[in-house]
Amino acid sequence: MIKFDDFSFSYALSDTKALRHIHLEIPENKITVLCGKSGCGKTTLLKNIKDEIAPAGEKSGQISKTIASGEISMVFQNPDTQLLCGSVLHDLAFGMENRGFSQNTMRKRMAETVCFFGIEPLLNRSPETLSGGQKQLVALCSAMMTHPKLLLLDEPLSQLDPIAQTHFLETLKRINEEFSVTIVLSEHRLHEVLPFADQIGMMNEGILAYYGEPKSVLKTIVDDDDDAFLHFVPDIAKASLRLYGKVALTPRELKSMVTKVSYQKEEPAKKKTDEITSCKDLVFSYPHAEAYVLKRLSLTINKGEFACVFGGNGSGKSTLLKIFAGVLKGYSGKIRGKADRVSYMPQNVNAYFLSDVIEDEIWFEGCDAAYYEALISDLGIKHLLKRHPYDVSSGEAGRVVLASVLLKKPQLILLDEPTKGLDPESKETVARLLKESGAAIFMATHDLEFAAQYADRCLMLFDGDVAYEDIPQHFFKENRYYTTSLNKAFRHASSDVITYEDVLRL
Amino acid sequence: MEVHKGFWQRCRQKNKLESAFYGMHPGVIFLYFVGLFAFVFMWNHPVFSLTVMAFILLLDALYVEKYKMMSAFKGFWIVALLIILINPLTNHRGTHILFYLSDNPITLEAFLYGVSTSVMIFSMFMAFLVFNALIDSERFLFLFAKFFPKIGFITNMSIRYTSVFQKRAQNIIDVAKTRGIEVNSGKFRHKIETAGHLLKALISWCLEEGMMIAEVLKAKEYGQKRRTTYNRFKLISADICLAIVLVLSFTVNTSLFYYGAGQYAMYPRLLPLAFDGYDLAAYCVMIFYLAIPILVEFFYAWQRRKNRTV
Repeated sequence: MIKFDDFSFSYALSDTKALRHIHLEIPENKITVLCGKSGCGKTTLLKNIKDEIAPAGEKSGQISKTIASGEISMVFQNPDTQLLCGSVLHDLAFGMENRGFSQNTMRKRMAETVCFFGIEPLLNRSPETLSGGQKQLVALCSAMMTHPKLLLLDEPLSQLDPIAQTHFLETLKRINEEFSVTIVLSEHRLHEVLPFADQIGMMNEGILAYYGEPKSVLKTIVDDDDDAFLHFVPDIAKASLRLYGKVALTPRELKSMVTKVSYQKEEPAKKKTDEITSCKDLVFSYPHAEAYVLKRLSLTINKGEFACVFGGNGSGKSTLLKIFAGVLKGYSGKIRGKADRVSYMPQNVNAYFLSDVIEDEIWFEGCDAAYYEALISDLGIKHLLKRHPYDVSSGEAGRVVLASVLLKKPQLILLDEPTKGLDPESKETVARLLKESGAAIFMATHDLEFAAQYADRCLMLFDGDVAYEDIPQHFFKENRYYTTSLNKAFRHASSDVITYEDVLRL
Repeated sequence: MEVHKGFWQRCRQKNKLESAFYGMHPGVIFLYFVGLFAFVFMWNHPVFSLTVMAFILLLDALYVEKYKMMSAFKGFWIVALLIILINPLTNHRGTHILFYLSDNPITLEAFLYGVSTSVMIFSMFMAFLVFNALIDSERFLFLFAKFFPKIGFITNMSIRYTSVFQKRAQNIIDVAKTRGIEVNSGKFRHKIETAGHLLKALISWCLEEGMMIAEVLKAKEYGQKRRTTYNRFKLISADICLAIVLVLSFTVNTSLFYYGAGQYAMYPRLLPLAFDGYDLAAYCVMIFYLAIPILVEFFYAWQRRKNRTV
């Protein structure tokens, strides 16, 4: 359908090539996933497929297409910039209106497509009132209105929580299976996407390094011990390759391989630490809301611990962080023993940036110069220092904020979904730096694998209160739905297997 | 219970969707408002303009939330007072002199003219409240998008992004606060500097998003062909009938206006109020016109009741 023939591309005013000698044939009616760390060129590749949004720059080689540009639709990464009108209905109609469809055609397509997606209840709502997952689903529905033959999606899942991700992917799968729409999707977390992919391409620095059927690509990467891509291989696949020499993509596949495992994790020694801050009987609700966000919530944050708080959308995770950060105040209840230096990283990192240059954002008068150097080189943002904060990818922006937060050497760090948009390699660095900082870390997240690996304590927020809390080992062990994919695969044999490190010890 | 409901309760529905006039086609509602606004400015006979005001207040009571009306009242009295005070001070025409203010004559004519102007502005103001309630942004866009497809879309987008940017601004202020940057502390100069700094951050953010939006627009092939507009509103025969009634009665009124009905001159000399045959005819037709929404509500309320008993 689309064929790249020795295609290279460099952006206008840039010396480095964003894409180098790409040979790629996108098969018809299949789902192709492009993977690689932020800034590897996957978005550039996608944009070059549709003429209207092809970036300006120098091209060499060829892209041959068998379909018209009008038959290609695109869904972007940021749910906020894709819905432009005051109501969902108008957004859905927008693409059709632009193409000058007649009233009858629009009505017909609207009726059937909206039914297929099951989003009738959202039609009259304003996009602002929707959750990230709903917004992305509306954006997808809107893209489908024009009956495209090829659907391009640029990291559509990166801003969504796991439940919304699964729902979105399932919808994509249905679109592909029922209407034979060819799908090309870029993503850096393969874990959720792989079971749905027919082909995957792994990219690094503008080069398409691997391309093929998911299982064989993953096997080659692990067999070659290719450091550049090893991070991207999901735990399930790594574990199955290591233990059984075959690739599994879902917990079910791995479970069928697991026969007998005897593994018991040691109980970690209980550490007694002093509390740094705590809240007692905290109550909060937003104006005009129908229910309390936090309902007599009490919890303690200890010195130097790494605590992760989970919970569905709107469970009050962000609100809780904002209260600890001093942005919001509870209606009643107390905050005790405020930490001296508190740093807060918002969910949308754009809200953090105040300067024109990244360097000014991080560096401040009287900071620890050696630590500064160490941070920027470890986080891989040294080459970005002179750039504008908005000029870098979302993963890089997240790392910039972390550097700024850490350099202040705070006692308490509050993080609102910091791993959103980070590629697996950066996640490891971030976790290490956070642990080394010695600060108490209180982090809201949906990233179960990350928490299982690094957290000292996990908390679950539900109905405005902490439903339960425990060390990760116990927290995940007892859960059935809210647990890591490895645990799901191994639980019938030994429920102590939670992270890949546990697998290594088998 | 329904049976014991009074006429007023039956007309004033708590849920806007239940009110029949709101359910009419936006074009027809718009047409009604064209006439209504014309009436506010057309007549300067006190009986006429007071009647128009009374009807507008009645419509407000029917369709506008109480708190919105109250805040409109609160905002308006000072404007009215200013007009009533300033007009006699600056305008000395007229023959009925009330008193002299440092050699300047204050005339009854100028005072009454101020009163009638503020009645007119008040009516217009209150009419806009109903207009907003019945022609919300979506309906407004529908009416305008037909003639100006691009402006329609741009207005729609601005409506959405104004509130998005308000939220953004709050977000930036909150996060800055955690970094020790407070807008509401320190000296005035410092405050201004901080506010400017945060504003710059907001603008960069918006511009950055603007770039992404531009890309989305391109991907959705905006501006390549002549746009059509998705139409959610159905025109039924009842709408057409009502439109005809509106146009007819308005035409009758304007022709009577042309023959001098509903006019009353305060300058140069205040005359006793006159009310001739033309005036009476125009007055009756005008009342009919103004009462149309209420008649529609009543008609449908009656129909609903009839249907229920079957």
